[in-house]
Amino acid sequence: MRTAKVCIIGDFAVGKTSTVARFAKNEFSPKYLTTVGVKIDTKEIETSRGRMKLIIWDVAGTDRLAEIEFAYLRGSAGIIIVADGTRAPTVDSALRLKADVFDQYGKLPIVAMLNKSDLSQLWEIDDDILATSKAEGLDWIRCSAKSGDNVAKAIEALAEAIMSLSADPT
Amino acid sequence: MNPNRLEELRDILLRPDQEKLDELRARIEETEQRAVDIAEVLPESVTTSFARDSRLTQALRSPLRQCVSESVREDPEEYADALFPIMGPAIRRAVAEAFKAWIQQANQALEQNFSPRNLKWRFEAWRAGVPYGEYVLQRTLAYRVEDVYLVHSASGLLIGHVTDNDRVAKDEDAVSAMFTAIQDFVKDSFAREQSGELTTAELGELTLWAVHGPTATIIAVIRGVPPAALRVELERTLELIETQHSQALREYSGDRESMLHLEPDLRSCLLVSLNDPVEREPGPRPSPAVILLALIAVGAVLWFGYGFWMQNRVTSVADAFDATPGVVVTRLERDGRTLFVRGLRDPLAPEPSEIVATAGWSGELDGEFMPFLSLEDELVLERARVALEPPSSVSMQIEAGMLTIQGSATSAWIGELESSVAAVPGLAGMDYSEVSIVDVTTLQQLREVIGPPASVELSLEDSRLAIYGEAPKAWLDALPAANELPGVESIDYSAVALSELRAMETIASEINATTMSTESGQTTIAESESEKIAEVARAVREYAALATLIDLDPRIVITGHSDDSGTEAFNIAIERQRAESVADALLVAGIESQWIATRSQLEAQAPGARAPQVTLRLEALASSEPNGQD
Repeated sequence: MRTAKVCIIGDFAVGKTSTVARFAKNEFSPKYLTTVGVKIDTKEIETSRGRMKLIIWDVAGTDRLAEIEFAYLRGSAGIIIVADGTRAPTVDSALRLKADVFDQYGKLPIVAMLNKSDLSQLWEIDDDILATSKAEGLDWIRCSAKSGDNVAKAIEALAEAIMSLSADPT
Repeated sequence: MNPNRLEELRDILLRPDQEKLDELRARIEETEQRAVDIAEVLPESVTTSFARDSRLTQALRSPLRQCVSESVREDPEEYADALFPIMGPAIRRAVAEAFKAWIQQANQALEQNFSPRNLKWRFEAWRAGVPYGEYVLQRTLAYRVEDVYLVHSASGLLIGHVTDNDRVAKDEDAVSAMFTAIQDFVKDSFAREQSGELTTAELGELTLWAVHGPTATIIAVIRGVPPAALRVELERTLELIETQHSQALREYSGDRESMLHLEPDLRSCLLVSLNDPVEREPGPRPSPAVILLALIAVGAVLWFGYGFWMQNRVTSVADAFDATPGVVVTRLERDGRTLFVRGLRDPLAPEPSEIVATAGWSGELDGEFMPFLSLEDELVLERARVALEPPSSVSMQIEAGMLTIQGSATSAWIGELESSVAAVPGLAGMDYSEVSIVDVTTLQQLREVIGPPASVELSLEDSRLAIYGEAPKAWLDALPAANELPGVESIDYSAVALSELRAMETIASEINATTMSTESGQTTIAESESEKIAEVARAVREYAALATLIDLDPRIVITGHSDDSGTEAFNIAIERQRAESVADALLVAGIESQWIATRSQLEAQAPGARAPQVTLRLEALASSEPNGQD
């Protein structure tokens, strides 16, 4: 079975950890996040190219990654980037983060999750923002860590992308 | 062609061959010759056949076995003789080996079961809920490599993992990633400027060793104390893997199946080393023989020390007997803790048991003393005292059997001296020339001696002094004993009363007549009555002072009364409260609490009027405190 390292990044309080908690097998206590700055969880996924295991690095971070957090991204096969649909600035942060990561580690498969879709009355992201963002390379999937909507789907899409890339590296 | 010529021609052409052919046929047909021929090639044939395959062995096995068994059956003696030189040493060795193994097992069993260390381990294993065998293994392990992870350094992805235990561990992929993360964290937090990697982490009995290569890291989880050589072994393994699979490692993208062939190399790192139990001991352990000898030595020292100490005690007992007048010891022996003493003892000399106790002997005493009269001065003096019964106004000394009497005495006593002295053996002579005669005949003279208070009357009749009236206890206590008073043989106290007691009775009669009225239904005494408190307090103090003089304990009993209205329970309660209120007032006025007793009239069934009031009674009790004079 293929294993792959993926990192989940995003601005402060966008729901990275709860997104992972929704989806993956908890291996370590959340206190690692505040102590070491990263927490590892795993998840086995069935893809069209076979079964794979994602090693998910939940990197504690804000709109800019510190040096150590950046180091955690080394060797990643893919990136999960999360923003908060009720706070438009987190989308901008995500764009900056993506640019930083690509600068450092090259163009990696990436999935962009716009979290908190359950809070529709507080929603701040309109189609314009989404379109601009898509033009810059982030095609957001609306999802909710609370209800679980689209979370599995988004991460499975990333797994597919990683598998197809390794099968056909061009 | 003529057939004969053809025959000739053939004869000419083939004769040499024909001769050879005949010769060969002869060799084959002649058994003896054939045996010689086969003997020629047999050794080579056997060697070649053995080298080629096992057919010859198979073929020979059965006939050889048959041969051997037949010949053993036919002549066992010969075989026994042949085997003897081999069998002897072989049997001896087998027996020795078996014995050695048995001794080892016995030692181990004893060691494992009954040594204090193992009893402790049994307890600890029981406490930890681990089977004893496993616990012993943990404790006797020098080290054991329990897990080996091969981790892709860049991504933290696991390449391979081998383990020698079946404990449920965390997801190995997650562990590998987290270790990489923590290593990054440590490096970034504490050693940012320095090159190097996290190589060791320790947690209790576990040690984590990480060995880093260009693309991969080996992480070994070790229980116990690993030697430096183990790190070298891990490094060697990693170098081997890095060299042989550098390409695959560099391009590793998480496909563990492609790396399964590395497992044997990793497995070779799962090393175990057991402690030599002998080496675990701190320093060489003394052999049982040495311990036994040491115990014997200690025992001997104690035994001789005890004997010496006892002998010392016997010596001091002998010295004590020597120093005691009136005792002559003829034999003194010790048997264990019993002392046998034989000798002579004057009946007036101290008891032998007292003498030995004073000398510090705590054991048994078996003494047999014949009575005798000692002529030593001390004993003669003692005998004279018994015989003469001297008054206290007289002193006696003795020197070399000569008794000297001084002081004053009645003429009656002096008159009897000569006859009394005759009954004292060992007395060489007596001198009472300095004894003055004091014969008291009048009461007036006696009065001058004892100085009675005015309240006392005296009478003297037949040397019997009688005291009448009242006298303070202090004066009575100070009275000399009858034999100390000249002309007095006995004193009669029966008609004298203690003056303190009389005074106390007076105070008590005054107080006992006191009542303090309360309003009906009230628990405290009436305002108008409260001025009596100070007066009562003064009287109680006076009473207490007198009581103390004659060794009695004063007590004031405060009784609460009530009228007949209300239930009994209510009345008892209110009576108590009334008594308590007076008690409180007396306490405030300085009366000691141990002198005060309160009660309810109804409850105590005390006499007195049924009215809302409080009555008092003063009394004196025998002192609860021991009195030095008694």
